Amino acid sequence: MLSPLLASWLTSLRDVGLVLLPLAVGMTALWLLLPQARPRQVLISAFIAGTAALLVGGLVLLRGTGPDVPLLFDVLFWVFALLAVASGVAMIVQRNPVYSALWFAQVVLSTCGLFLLQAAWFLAAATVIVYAGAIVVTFLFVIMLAQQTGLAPYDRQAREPLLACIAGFALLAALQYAVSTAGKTSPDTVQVFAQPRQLPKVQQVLEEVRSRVKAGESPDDTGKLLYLQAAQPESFVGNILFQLAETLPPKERKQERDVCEAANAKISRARLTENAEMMVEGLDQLLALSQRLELRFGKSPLSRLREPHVASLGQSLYGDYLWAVEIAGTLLLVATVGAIVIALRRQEEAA
Amino acid sequence: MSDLDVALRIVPALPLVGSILTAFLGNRLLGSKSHLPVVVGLAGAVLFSFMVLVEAPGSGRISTSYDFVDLGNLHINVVLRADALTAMMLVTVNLVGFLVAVYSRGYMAGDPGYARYFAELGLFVFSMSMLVLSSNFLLLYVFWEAVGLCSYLLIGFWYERPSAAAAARKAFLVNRIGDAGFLLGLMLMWTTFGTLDYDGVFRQVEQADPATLTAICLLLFTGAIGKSAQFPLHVWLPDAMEGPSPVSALIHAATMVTAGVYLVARSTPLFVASPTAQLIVAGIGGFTALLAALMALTQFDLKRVLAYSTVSQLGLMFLALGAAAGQPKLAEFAVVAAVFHLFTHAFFKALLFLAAGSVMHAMGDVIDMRRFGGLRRLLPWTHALFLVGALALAGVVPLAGFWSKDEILAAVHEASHGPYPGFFTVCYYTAVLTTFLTAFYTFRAYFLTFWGEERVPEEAHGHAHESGWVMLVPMALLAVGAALAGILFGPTHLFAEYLGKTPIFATHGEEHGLNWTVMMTSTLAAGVGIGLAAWLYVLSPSLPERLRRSLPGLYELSSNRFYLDELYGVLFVGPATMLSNFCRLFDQYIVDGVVDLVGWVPGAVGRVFQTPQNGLVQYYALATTIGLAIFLVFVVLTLRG
Amino acid sequence: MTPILHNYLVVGSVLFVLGAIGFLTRRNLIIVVLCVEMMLQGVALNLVAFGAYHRSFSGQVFTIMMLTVAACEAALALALVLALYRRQRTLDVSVWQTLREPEVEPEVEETPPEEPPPPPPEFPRLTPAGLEPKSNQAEEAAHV
Repeated sequence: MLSPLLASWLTSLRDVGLVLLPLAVGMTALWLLLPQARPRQVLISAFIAGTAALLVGGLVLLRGTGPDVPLLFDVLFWVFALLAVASGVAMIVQRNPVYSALWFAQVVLSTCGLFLLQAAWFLAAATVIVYAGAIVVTFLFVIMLAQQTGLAPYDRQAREPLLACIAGFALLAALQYAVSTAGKTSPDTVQVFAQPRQLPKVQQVLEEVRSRVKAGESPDDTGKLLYLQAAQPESFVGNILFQLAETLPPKERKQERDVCEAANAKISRARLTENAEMMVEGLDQLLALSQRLELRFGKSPLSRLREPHVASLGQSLYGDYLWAVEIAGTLLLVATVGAIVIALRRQEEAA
Repeated sequence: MSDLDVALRIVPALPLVGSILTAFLGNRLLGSKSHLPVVVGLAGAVLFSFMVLVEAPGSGRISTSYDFVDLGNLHINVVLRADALTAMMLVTVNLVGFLVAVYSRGYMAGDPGYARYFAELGLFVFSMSMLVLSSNFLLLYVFWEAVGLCSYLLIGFWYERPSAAAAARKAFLVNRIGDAGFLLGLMLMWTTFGTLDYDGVFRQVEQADPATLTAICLLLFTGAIGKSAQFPLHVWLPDAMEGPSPVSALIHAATMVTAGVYLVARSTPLFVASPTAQLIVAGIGGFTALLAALMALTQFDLKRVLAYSTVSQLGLMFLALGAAAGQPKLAEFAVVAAVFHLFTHAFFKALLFLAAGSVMHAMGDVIDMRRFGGLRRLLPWTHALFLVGALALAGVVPLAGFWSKDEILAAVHEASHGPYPGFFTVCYYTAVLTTFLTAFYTFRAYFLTFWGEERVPEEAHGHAHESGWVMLVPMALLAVGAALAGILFGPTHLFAEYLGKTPIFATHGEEHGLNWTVMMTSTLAAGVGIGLAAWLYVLSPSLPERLRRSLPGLYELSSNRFYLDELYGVLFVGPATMLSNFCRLFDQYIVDGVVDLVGWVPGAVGRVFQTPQNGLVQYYALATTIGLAIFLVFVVLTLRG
Repeated sequence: MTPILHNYLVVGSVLFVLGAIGFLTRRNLIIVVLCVEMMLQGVALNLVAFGAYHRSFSGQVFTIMMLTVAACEAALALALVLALYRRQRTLDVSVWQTLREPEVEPEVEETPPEEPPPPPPEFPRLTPAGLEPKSNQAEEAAHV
């Protein structure tokens, strides 16, 4: 007879094993690929790396993707993700620093693709410009300034590749464990954040309560139905709508928040005073809000791409985070001065 | 504040100020003038103590200086007290101290520790003054320890000599035994009477339980035994002669060693109430007197002869102090006799030690009487002064020793008519025998040193010479005291009358006339002793050697001080050494081991974690990575609860 | 948690760990700094994914801040690398281990065996085509 604790442990052990296996295989490939004294076994390494990729693919198929993700997004994600990881591997195993820098540019470009999929257009563009455009070029300049002819011994020999791979494996496993268990963490933190896909459920609840109140039932009793999970204040539909309104672009945000607050206040007053009329009024307002929000967020992620992102980002950046922007600008200035001072060849040095 | 109050404070303050000045300025500023602050201070102290002597006796004055201890119902104040006994002691201490300080100016000249010597001397006189001035037992005890400290410092003055360091240590340790008893006595006194004030304690003597009283007396007497070098704690005094001769004269002959006598005299009301304690005091005093006299017979070290003589004379004083057992009326007479002997003894014994120091000075620090002789032409003044001292010590009419010793003998003789006739008869004859022996060994030393063929040791480098005036004048003044103090104060009863005003005597006894029998007996004993010494060491110098051969056992016994040191060594020092060795090993290997372990563990842990500190950032980052992984897993597990 | 967020987080963490491994193993100062940048990319991906998940711009704003800091860091790091290179004329990290404990022996890197020089690069060659120009002599001769 297994105790429930042990059973849950075994279950999680199986999950962990499923994740660990491709990780271990991938790390082995990485270890073989890292520059070492012995000649590199490219074929074997590539084979092992391919196995790892296949294992990851199998794992993905096993788990399935989300229901609301269209196929195009899925395919694009996998392409960019694979490109990013493969370029990352290539970057750290390259013996020639110039190639490393170029692979890094590739990593940055793939990441920018992923940014695009997350509707972060401005960020994608900025990253391409700053990283691929400025930073990688600076790196290449420095490599040119400092590079010796041929491959230097320190480029041909990695330090403690096995140990580093084991440590990296441990860290990655811990991260995967954390990422995969984060959704299952303690119930208090579950569903703190409202999701647009809760909107249909919210509307359903609102309409049911509205019809019941109209039929003459007590507003206070039926009001208890307004919680998606029993007695969880954060699952109160009014709160969910409020949180969703919070994520709107600033202009609409204020307006919709006020509407939601007024409606919530009305409902709680109506429940206290058993005022059916007021209750219906509040419920109507919330229903209208939820319909507006549904239109706003749409049913698919694609709809998000149509929103004016750059403008909203700018409003957030120069509205909510103005101070941080100013400080970051100062930091850039200071760093520029510092870099010049450090890199400047001093008189006595030059002499 | 009356004149007397001022004087009472100035008397101890002057030596203390002199001592502090010398201690702080001596080596840098004063140099060879380091004696000045102390000598001047002592001169002032002598003047003021004479003032106290004149004014004190009527008043029995108590003068509070400041609160010393104020704990719960224990109030100990620094209270200065002026009565006849204190005034007498003050004069003795300061006068002899002053003369010795002047003498030391010549004797110690050129010593590298010149300033230190005078600083310690001043400190001693201050402590001794406070000892006799204090008005309660606790303060007495504090300065009792202070004089012990000064004694320790001055015995070990030439601390680079192993023998001096050992002697200082021995004096200190032996005194500790007595002091521990003293302290216990104080505690018992506190629990019994609830106060440590002289007056407070003496007022309650009547109500006290006799057994407790006896215990208190005996514990106090233990302290006295240690300080005054009585059997069985007498062993430190002869060794204390390692100190400079003036120190021997002042501390180990005239003043500090008499602190025990002072203590018992001061506690007279307690002792009077406990005949048992008095019998023990008398018994130990008499036994010590005889024992030390026997030991003195065969010593060849001049200063040791005098040291044993001191022990012997102190024994006589204790014998007198105990003589009033069962006869409270006799107490005043007996105590006066003891203190009178203390007074005269201070003069002639200090004189003898200073003279011995003068001989030593001339002989290049040689003190063995076998190595010099016939010095009476070489050192005529010293010879004359030593002779005065020796005659006084031997008790020859009309010098000081005769009168005071006579009073002791008279007191003991009187006691033998009391409730313990057998005991005191034995004591009396012991005292007479001691008188005879005293005369004999004193003149043995005198004849060996100053008569016979003139011999000078090589250490004198052929320029043996008489000491300078700075040394001779103090000796001469002491000689005047040794010659006249007895006849001025003894037969005239001046001393007895003066001391009788001390408020320690409950009942005043009748006047004691001169006891002609006793006087004749003691004079006869002294005369026989001197004559025997002259016969043995001047007329037929080969006789002592033959005597030694014929009585080997007795001679060895005496010259080896009855093997008491060896006996103590086996009985006490041996086990104590074993115990301390055990403690040392325990400390070295267990306690130190634990301490070392505590120190070693961080080092070892550090060495373990030092290896990864190779300066390469990437190894540090590796450790960070692994640590981050562990931390993550821990956090997630904790969050899952 | 939506699978899509999960996937982004996985990719971000993989990039982060790859950067960490590169940081741990590579001995070229420049590549070490590059690896740090890659770790930052992983983190940026995480932030953006969470921002999208919460429908908040905070994630993106945070990433922009990070971009700024990364730019500063790259500039300073490269300046430092240059300064270090001028000191020792090498980019090897192992040169800089003077911060070790005095008792610890310095780490001596084993030099990898010398590799055979790479074959000379093969440049494409055009096959000769067309007529060979006439020699000057013939032309001169014709003139003459």
